[in-house]
Amino acid sequence: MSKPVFPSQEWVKALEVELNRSAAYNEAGKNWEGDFYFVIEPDKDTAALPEPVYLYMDLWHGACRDAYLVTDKDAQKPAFVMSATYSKWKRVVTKQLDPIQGLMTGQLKLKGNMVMVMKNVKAAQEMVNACTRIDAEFLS
Amino acid sequence: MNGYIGRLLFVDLTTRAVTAQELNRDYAAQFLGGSGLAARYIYDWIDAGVDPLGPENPLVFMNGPLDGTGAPSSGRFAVCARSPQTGLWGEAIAGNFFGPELKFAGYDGLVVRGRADAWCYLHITPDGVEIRDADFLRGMTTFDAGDALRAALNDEGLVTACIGPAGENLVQYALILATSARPAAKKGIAGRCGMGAVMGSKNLKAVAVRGSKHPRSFKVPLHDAARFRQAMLRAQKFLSDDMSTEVFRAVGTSGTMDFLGLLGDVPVKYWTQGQFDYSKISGNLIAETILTGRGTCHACMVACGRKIQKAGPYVLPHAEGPEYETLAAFGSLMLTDDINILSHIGAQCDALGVDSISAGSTIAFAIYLHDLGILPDAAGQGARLAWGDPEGALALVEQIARRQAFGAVLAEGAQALGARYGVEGLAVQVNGMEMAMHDPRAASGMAVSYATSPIGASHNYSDFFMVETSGRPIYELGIETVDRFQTHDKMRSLARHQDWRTINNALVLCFFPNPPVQEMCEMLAAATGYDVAPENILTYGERIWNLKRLLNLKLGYCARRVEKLPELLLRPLSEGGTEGNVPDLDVMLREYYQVRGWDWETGSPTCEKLEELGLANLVR
Repeated sequence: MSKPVFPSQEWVKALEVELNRSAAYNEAGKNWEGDFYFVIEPDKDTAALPEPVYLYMDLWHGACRDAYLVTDKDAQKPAFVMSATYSKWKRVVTKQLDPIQGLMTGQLKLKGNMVMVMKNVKAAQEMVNACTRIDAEFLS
Repeated sequence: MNGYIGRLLFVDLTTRAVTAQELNRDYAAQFLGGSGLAARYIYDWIDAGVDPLGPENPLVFMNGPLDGTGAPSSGRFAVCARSPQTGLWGEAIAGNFFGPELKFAGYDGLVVRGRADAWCYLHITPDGVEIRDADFLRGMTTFDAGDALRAALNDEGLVTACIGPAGENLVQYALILATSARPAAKKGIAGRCGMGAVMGSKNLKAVAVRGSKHPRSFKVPLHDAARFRQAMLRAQKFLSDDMSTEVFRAVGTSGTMDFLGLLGDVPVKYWTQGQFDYSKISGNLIAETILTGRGTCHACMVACGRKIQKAGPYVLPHAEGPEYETLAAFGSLMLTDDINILSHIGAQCDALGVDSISAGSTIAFAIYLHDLGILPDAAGQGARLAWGDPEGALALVEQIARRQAFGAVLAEGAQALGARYGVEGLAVQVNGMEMAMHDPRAASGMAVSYATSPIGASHNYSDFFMVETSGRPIYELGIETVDRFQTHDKMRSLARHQDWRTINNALVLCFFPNPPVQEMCEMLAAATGYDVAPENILTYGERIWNLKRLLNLKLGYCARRVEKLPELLLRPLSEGGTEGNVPDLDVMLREYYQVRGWDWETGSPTCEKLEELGLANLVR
């Protein structure tokens, strides 16, 4: 069976499964309300990702209710949009860059309620832990 | 003199002489401004025999060459003197609007010498300078004294720097607070090193300045105004798009509490525990519950200041809310998790004029010693010394400010308290300064940062934990991402970060956040005409850093005796984000000395290093 490629429909679906079976995430994210667009933007100096990729995730009280690769980015108006270049996202999902760290240093950009994000650091941490459990392939 | 007004104001409170002297251009060209320039002047003026609370200890308020130019994050000022708390170089950097106001009034800095024979204040405008009677301000809080001056002088545009009762009573860690009447102005706290006590020792209650919107306001001359404007606009664009601007605006410095707590950075129960519900003392909770507005300093795009009108049952009369350090020092450090009373305690520290880090740390240390049975009940003179007792802590803050009862003991700081009971080694301090609220067991480089800081265990010389925990490298300056527990090969980045922050304190730029290095250098070069670029900017910082080391050696600093970690921080924590880490200070410090070009035995820069930096003449 081939590995899911980051970022892709298969990858985000694998993350949905990992989050929902993670007791640690269920606990850490129990107060979370809000759906996301995770926007993976092309890096300037590589051709690995020719166009931005949008991943949608509906996160609610410690569960992931839905997740998919977005084909029409105007179809949803999520509460949060978090965006960064592919290389930055790769560092996040391989646990080399903490997402809160990424926000505080401007490597990740967020539209949405900053307070909600900054107080749910444990949920962000467990989400990254879930990412690392996906045996994924990367574009570069 | 581009970037500067070209004048320092000298006030001798003993003789009541007021003079303006030309700024030393060579000093300015080498040491820029702020605490760098102040250090160069003070190096000439003091030696080990100067009493920090005596008339011979000059108190210097200094701007930087970007103050008053509109450069973002530039509206701060430095207050410098020999510190009564440490006996060493003392500096405190503050915001609000005082720095630019002094510049618009016609001065790059103010030097106060001597001692007045009665309480006084200074009134400074472009029309002149007066030493005036301040008897009517005696006993007033920092905030009330500023308001009273604005009312007495019928000038709402006046910006004031005042001491509170703590400064009047020479509390070792008394602060100076800058305020203005602008509704969204953030308080400016010159908190550490006891600069408020130095001011109080001169019987100087306040400095009141009016420069802006005055018929004879001074304008800061610029070497290349067009180039400056272009760089400034790029810096503003960067900051408006930068996420860290948005983070600090939304949640303030204490919004990082949850994140830093997870990493074990926030100390708990006097540095002896590793877990706490940080969400209860976080800026995120403040933002969701009691925040009523945001405060800002001159030329700031961030507005990290927290405005809080009412916190539970407590009315904050000047609506100034707490920062991260205050919430940790009186919160997790003492096992208190009530954000309302913590906000009130922070406001009281500011009003009474005590540094919240030192006050909270010293009180927490007293509780710790009492808990161990070392400090007996009777010694507390009726004080309540218990974990999770904020009312008891509040009562002690008031006693400290007035040097009453047990407060008179605590007013001397944690090191003195420990020495009184033969357990000085248990006090978490370096050089007599209580450690800031960032645990070096969570970010090992901070061990060296604290040990080598020119002012004692301040988190701003440098805030290297932000590189170690938040991964904020500055590649243009060779400041690389490092692992927070890493021991080896980290010191070059630390030294460069210290040099970078030293430049910030010379310019005088806020740390939250900075314009990019390129734009900062462009603004400085365009303002002053100096040959400054990312490739050479760190030399200024290194020069100033070494100057402060020379000054401390002159004042009796003994590196091998004091560059140590407190005993409690050598004990691993079994829980929490430090993951049992204890920094190996000796290994890192030896590498640091090599990187710095310093002699291990003497703690001094080598002759080669001094020649390289143009400082050799200071020691011949």
